Amino acid sequence: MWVWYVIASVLSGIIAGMGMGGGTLLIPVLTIFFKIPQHTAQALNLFAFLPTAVVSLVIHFKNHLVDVKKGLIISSAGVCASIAGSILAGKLRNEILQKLFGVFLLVIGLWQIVTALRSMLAKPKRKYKYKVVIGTKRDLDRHK
Amino acid sequence: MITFSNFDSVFDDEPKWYEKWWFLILIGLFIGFVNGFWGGGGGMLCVPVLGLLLRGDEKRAHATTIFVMLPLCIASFVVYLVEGFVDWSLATPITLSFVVGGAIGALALKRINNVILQLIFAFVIIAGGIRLVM
Repeated sequence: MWVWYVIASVLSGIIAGMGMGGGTLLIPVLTIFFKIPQHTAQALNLFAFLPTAVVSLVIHFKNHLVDVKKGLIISSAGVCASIAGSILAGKLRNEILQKLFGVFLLVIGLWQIVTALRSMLAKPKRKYKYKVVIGTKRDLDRHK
Repeated sequence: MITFSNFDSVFDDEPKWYEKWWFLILIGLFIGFVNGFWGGGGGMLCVPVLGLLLRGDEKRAHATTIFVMLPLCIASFVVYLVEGFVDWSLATPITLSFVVGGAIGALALKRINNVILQLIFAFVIIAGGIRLVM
């Protein structure tokens, strides 16, 4: 039985590692195929994200890829809202939360189709081969 | 006649409306609520927003998204833990496999056509959504 858990989680992890939202895949797989309650699946997904996130954050920090200022503003507001959201989810019955999650998946899925089609149809933006930037070093960094 | 229209963005230091602090707070509240309520999916919302804020630098957008999502996920996980929704017997195998998959995905990232994969992903998600709503 646990072999199937491993297969499902590895597949979701691959999608997550590609930066495509593996969590939105792991939760429905756990609830639909393994009959795990919605709340438990959500808690599992949150937990599964943590070790990967810590490791990749260390790498990203070393490569100076994290915008700390913007990130801190967004996440400080986000932590408050996420606590509120989790408490609200805990108050709902399993079936209701599951249905709402289904709606969430439909919205995300349709939105993904739209963005995929848009990037398929998008014309290359760059008109010129070279771009001349005059300014200080800060300006140059911003317009690499 | 010389026009400077192509250089607008170079000299334009005035922050756009979506670069103001109140927009960052609003988007943080929205992402946080979604991620806490549904236990995931916040990252998918955060990446495009940060892509806009960081002027299309996708690497930085992904890295900063993880930086944003880590405290959010810890906070929501603690709430789920306190309310007794955590099943530790499942947490170990699932988390270990998820980590292995994550490493594979990160390494394979450059070799696969992303748009096709995104479409497949979208259809799988929609199928799951229909199944859950029914």
